[in-house]
Amino acid sequence: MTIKLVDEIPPAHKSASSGQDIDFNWVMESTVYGIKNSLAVLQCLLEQEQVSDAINSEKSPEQINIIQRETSRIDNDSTQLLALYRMHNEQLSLRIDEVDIYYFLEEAVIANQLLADSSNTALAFECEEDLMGYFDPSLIRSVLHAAIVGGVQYAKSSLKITARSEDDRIVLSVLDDGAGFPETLRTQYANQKPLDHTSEQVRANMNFYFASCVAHQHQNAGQEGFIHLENNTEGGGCFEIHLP
Amino acid sequence: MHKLDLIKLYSKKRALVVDEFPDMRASIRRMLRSFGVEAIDLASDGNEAMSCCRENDYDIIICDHSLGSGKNGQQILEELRFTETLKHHAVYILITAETTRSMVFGALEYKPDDYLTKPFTQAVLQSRLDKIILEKLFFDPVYTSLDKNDYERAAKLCSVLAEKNKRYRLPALKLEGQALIKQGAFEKAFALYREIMQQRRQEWALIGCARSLMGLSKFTSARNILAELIEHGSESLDVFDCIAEAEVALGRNGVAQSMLERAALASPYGILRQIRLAEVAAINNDYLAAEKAYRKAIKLGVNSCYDSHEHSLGLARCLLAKEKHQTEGKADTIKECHSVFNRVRKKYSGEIQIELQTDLVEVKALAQEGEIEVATANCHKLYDQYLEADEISPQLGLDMAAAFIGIDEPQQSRGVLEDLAQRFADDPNVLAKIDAMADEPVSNAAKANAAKINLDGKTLFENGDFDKAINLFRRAVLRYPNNVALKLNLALAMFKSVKQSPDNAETIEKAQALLDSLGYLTKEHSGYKRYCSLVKQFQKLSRAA
Repeated sequence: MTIKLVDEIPPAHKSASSGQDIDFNWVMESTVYGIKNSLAVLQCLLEQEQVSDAINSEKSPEQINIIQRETSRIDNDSTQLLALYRMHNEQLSLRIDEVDIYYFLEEAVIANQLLADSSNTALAFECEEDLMGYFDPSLIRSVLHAAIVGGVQYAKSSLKITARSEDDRIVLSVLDDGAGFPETLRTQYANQKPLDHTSEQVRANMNFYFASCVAHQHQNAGQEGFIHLENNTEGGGCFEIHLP
Repeated sequence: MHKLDLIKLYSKKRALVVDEFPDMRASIRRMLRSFGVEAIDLASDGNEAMSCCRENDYDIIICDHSLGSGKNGQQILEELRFTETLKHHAVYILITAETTRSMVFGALEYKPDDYLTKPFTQAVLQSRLDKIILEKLFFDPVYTSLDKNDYERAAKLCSVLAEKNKRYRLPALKLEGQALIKQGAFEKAFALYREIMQQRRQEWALIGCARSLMGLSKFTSARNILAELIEHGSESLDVFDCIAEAEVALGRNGVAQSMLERAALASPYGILRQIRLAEVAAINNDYLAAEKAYRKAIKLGVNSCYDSHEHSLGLARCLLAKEKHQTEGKADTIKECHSVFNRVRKKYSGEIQIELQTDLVEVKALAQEGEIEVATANCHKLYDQYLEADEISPQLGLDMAAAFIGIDEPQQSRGVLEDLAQRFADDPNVLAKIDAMADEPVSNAAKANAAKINLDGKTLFENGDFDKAINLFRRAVLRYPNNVALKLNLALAMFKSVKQSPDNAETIEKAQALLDSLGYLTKEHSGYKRYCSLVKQFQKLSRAA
């Protein structure tokens, strides 16, 4: 893994209209920072709403579900936006930590419980209690959350997150019981290579592109991470991220 | 633990919420209330947070990292721990946004109990807080001992607790190791970490082994453990910090510097690491790197409890060293030095030691800009003050010696260093700095070391192994950069090596640069004759080439 300097500001871009320099690094950071703060406040309000709803269960959960889902989407998208911008400017440095994967998955379930509840999807996780991994928890968390948000949308009734250790790699997977991934999508991710973002199909799904970038940034002992999509024998989709 | 018991537990806790945004403060307060916490205070910035903490003992502090123009969340934590205002059982959770991750990660100073990223749900906060609160409850007696600095008892309690609950076994062993190291029981700590390693190879236990070995002064073994971790792809900043410490102890400051540079690159906001990097780079005479690190430290020192006049004076020393080699911009460099002095005087007015130190560094600046008469008069006046000072810190002594070198009175400088070496005979770090400044070894250790190096060099010369001799003397020069005899020996080894295999323009060039750096030698110096003859020999060589 290469560590890159994080605090160097990239060359400023010229704005055509005013002729003044705009420091886009700053623009991105403060915009995303603002979005996150707003989301934090919204999230709190939403929770209050949901609790009071549960008490006088008159309202349909449909709208709450939409607000919940879209809030998570904005959150994930803004994280991805900033991370991809930093990757593009070679400014993203991975923050590798020792991660207790059991807790990590447990928390992913807790964080998305309201979303799953409001769309009547059973959310569960499966993992050995003493499984440890070395990765950037913040980036992997946003990959996982994006996969869960997507999974909840396509699942019929249940979504399962699992983790296992396989050939010196940690494999995190999100399985749903929906219709599965289309053939074209699966073949794109079959060769474990980084993706070409100019391809139209890749452009259609930013989440997978982001996941793939993050996976490939994780390198250890000559191995590189990758993502993998497949369908279960029962039909549902299975998203996997492999980390060395 | 039962949910009701948890609520009871929370009801006894006192919490502080620090956030810029009123909505966020209110939301977090609401969350804490629903967990059962009753006493909750709110603060909107660093100053408010600090004054709350001075008035109350908090059990839970939830603090946002960004708090406007004053202290940030990490600096609040540092100051609370530094001033021992925060008890060991207290929970400190730092809230960060994605955008600030590089600012808080890997700080060498103090780590919070947990990081939380905005936005988060109530359930996530509760799950994190529950886990930490229960763990802190389990280790409560240990923390009480730690608060009293009773490390022996803390370690004993840990080893009992490790057997009590399987889930907390590893955290208990981790704490036990830390307590043993703080207590200075390095043998015991080493045995503990090795036992953990036998069950499962874990990075933190290996680092613990290395730290214990360093406590036992087994620096080479410690270095080997850490180097192996790095070879296996470890990116842990602890490893880099720790190996740098070992390398400094082994006198390999060059390697230490590159390790600190790697860690500082990954985590550019840790102030202590920047300070250490600056110091090590300065010892290495790598003034450009030191200058950069001091500038960073000064910037990070704003609002920090680690702010010190030393960073500014350190910067001035680097600038003065740089000015000597500059061909352009000399005046600007000196000008910046003077503005640094003004800033320090303004900020620390009335602090006699700091004022004296500033005046001494200024002597060098004056001498270098050609005001040699003023510099000399000032220096002698300051020496009187120096002799009368109640307390002489190592750096004050070094600045006094450097000032004498600045006005070209090497004998006086040597006297100051010899006196300083006696005062700090037990402190190898100070002795290393003294020997690095002296043109001949001062401390006994350095004298013995120089004798050994010269003896080893002689053997290599006799065997015709000149390349090995070059390596030996080059390492020695890095360690004692002002030692003339070592530099001359290095130049001689280079000369012999070129004679042996003539086609070596690079070595000739390096030798020329080395001899150039000795251009200040005068007839009175004991090495002057050898210096002149080497210069002549190399002139012949380069003419022949």
